[in-house]
Amino acid sequence: MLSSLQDNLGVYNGYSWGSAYVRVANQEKVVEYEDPLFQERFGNNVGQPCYRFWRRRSPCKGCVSEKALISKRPESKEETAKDGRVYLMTSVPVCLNGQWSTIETIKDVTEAKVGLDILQIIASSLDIRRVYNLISLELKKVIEFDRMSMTVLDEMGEGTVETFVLTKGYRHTELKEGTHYPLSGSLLEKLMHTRAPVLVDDTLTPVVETDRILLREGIRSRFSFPLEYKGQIIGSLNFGSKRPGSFKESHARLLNHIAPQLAIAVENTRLFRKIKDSEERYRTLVDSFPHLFFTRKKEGAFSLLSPSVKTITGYRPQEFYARSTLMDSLIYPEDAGRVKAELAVVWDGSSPSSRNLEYRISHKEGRTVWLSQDSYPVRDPRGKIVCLECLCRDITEAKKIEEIKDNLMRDVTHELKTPLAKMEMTLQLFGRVLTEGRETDGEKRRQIYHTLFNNLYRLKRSVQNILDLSSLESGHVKLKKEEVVLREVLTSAIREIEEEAGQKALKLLVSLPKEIPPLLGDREKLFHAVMNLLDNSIKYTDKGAVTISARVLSGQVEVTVSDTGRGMEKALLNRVFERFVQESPAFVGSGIGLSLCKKILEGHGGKIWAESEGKNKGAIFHFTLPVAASKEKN
Amino acid sequence: MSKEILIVEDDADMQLFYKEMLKKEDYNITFASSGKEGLRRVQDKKYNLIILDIIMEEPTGDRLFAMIRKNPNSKDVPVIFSTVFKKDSYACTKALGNVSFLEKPFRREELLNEIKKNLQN
Repeated sequence: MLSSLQDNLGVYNGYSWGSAYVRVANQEKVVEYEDPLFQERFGNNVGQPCYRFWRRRSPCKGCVSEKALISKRPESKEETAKDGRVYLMTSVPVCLNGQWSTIETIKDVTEAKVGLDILQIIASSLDIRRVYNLISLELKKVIEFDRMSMTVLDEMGEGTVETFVLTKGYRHTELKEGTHYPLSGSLLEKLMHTRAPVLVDDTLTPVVETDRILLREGIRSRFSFPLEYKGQIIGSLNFGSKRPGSFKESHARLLNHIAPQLAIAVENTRLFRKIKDSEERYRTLVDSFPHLFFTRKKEGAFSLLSPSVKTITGYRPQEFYARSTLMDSLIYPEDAGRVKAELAVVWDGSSPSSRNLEYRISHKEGRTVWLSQDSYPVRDPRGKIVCLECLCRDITEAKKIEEIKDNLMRDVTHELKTPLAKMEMTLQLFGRVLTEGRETDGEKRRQIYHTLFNNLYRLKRSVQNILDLSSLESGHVKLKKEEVVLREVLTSAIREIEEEAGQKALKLLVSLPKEIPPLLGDREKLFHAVMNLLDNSIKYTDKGAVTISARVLSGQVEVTVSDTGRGMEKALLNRVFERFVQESPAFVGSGIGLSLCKKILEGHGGKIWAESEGKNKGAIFHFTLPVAASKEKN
Repeated sequence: MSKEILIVEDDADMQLFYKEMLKKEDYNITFASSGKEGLRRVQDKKYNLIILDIIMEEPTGDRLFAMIRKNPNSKDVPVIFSTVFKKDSYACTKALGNVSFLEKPFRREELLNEIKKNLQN
């Protein structure tokens, strides 16, 4: 009866069982029939144990035929043969005259299996390198290649190709991952035209330009498969083999399955890379951003805070994340209300944004920091404002400069307007005296004269100082370099100040050496410097004397002006000269005279400093100037 | 009884002008030549009016004003700032509260008006 089964099956000799092979085995696992295609491929095994096909010496573990004979139902199982190929075995039990046999179909599913596995691999990871390596291992099972690469069209530069990922084996070529090369003449270019796989059977008879290069590298046959994404060719999967004719049409069928998935994976990777790049760029920008950037929710919580917050406030970002009220507690109480009100109109949507909101905060170290904040609302898809994006610039320096400018402006105004005001008021007094027709006593007349005289001179000096200062500051006017006789400068200044000193009944004590070596410099400016110094001493001395002395040192001359006046506290000694660099002036109304004095002296390579034993203990000002190099005597 | 006026002014010329302008008026004038002296005087005695220069050595007029307002003796005393600055200038806006300003130079009538106005309140 078995033979009749064989005969029956024999009828179908030459019939393809859906690309499966068919054989019949008896209960003793002895092959009784094999279809001719089976024998063509694997040789004649009739009369041999069925497991011989698997090149085994004993029955297979979990043999499907055995199972089928027990269950009396068809059973199937995938088996990997010694050659590495995967077969799907299906065993159907049949009983003929009480004799059980099995009809086995054996189907080579290697490629389908590889395809499926590859799809799984692609789906399993976002890491394209890992995916690629696993794919290349899988493909090795079905395609004979020595190397494999994936190239993609460069997104940035039109007409270039980027090598995306490579298998090993490119050691002797210049191709590396990330290498860009021209699209023109490449296999990918050909693919883009044909949109079909390109097969080069033997690079000895080149099909594409690059075949010659590959031939030099020992590659004899090539195969390239297009990667298509949303109707666009985005790249290709390429194989190279040292053997000619390694690639077949059947390989294309397999790749047809996996290429679309691979293309998606490539696109995802590129997208992922792009997002990561832009995220990194954003992060770098935020990290290195000198200004403070933060987003804050309505209830005050921070959702983002740039690291610069540490420099600006002295507190770490974590401290703000942990306690969002920290920020509000840093704001000056005087400014807090204004800040809150200004931001409230952004929160309720009545103002589209808030710009240049200036306020003060206390730095962790206690100093004042001025911020200028821009705030923009961020809305959810329904238009509701969910947080504010804020950018704060540290404008402390600018504020300092503004304050210095304001102070300077105030001093200049004060210095010019005060003598003018007093002259006007003196003249009013004089007018009253005249209209009242009274005989004014000599004392009153003298007083009126002195007040007019003093204030006129004060005004004159103030105007001169302002002109000097603006010319020195602008840098347009340079100090002259003429020979200056310092003794003469000092005596003329003393002469000019004599009258004022006399009015205050101050003694002017002068002690100058007979010979002071000449200097090189600007006579007029040095005169102004000395005048300012003397003027300052007289202004702040109510009784006693102002002493002017000088001594010649090696290479320089030192001039000392000491008074018995109001003096100053030690802390002020350096600051009296620093009208323009200090946040708050040494004292209001200290004027610009001493700063100008310092500027002029330093412009001549000199130095100025002050000494005082304290308040009401007088002050001593010293300055030094280098003398001109003595002329060689012939 | 004559009203007591304290004038805090560090400029001798200005003191002279005040003296001249007010000599025929029935006011008791006290001068303080510095902010420090001014503070001492308001602590010692209650005045009906205080005239304050702004630009002085420390304490400056605006700072002295803050101290005057804290001092129980002088916290309600009307204050006139006398200064070369315009009322709305930077130097003046730094001063606190609602006070009168008398811009230098001023004429006798302006001074008398300002004093009268402040003494009435």
